[in-house]
Amino acid sequence: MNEIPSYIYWLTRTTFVFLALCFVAVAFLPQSRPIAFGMIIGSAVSYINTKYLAKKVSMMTEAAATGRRGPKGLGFAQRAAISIGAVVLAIEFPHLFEIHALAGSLVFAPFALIVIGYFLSRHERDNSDNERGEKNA
Amino acid sequence: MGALAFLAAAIAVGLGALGAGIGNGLIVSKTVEGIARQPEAKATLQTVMFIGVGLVEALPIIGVVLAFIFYAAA
Repeated sequence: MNEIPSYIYWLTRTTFVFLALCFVAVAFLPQSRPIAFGMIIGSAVSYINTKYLAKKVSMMTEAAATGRRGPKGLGFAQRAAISIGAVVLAIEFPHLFEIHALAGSLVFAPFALIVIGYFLSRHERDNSDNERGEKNA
Repeated sequence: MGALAFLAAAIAVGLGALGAGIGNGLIVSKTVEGIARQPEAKATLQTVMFIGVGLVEALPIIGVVLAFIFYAAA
């Protein structure tokens, strides 16, 4: 079974929860609005990059399995360009976006994927243990 | 500050790209090799490759971002 869609599903939920928290911060902490806006832009860019990477990885492994011609790369240039676009936005409008918050939240999705992977693999192991227990009983 | 900022930007981008290039090459080559040997393990290898490439490529992207910050500060 292909596990990438379930990773993307949980990543989407996690990102939206994070974005909601950032918007709450925007609403209730006016003095830290640039930080919250920077984190919003950074995590959104990180999410888009990760979805694009998932598509490229699926295309590449499909090509390897079927022996057909696959994509030439993993789209690093496009992802770097999107990130640079966000940083240029923060450099141009420093009163709106805090650049360090933006740079830090650009790694939101990769680190969220580690946590999601840990919980999904634990869930899968628990399920397989339960099935084995039922078979033994 | 100006020249050193440019040097810092160049080092951040260059070394980040070097490490990510080596890491990505290893991940993709081993995954493709594994799928070619054992096509039924495609799903597992695909997931591991997705997480691995995501983590490895986070570093050069941060390097590029830091380089832009240094460049803007110079």
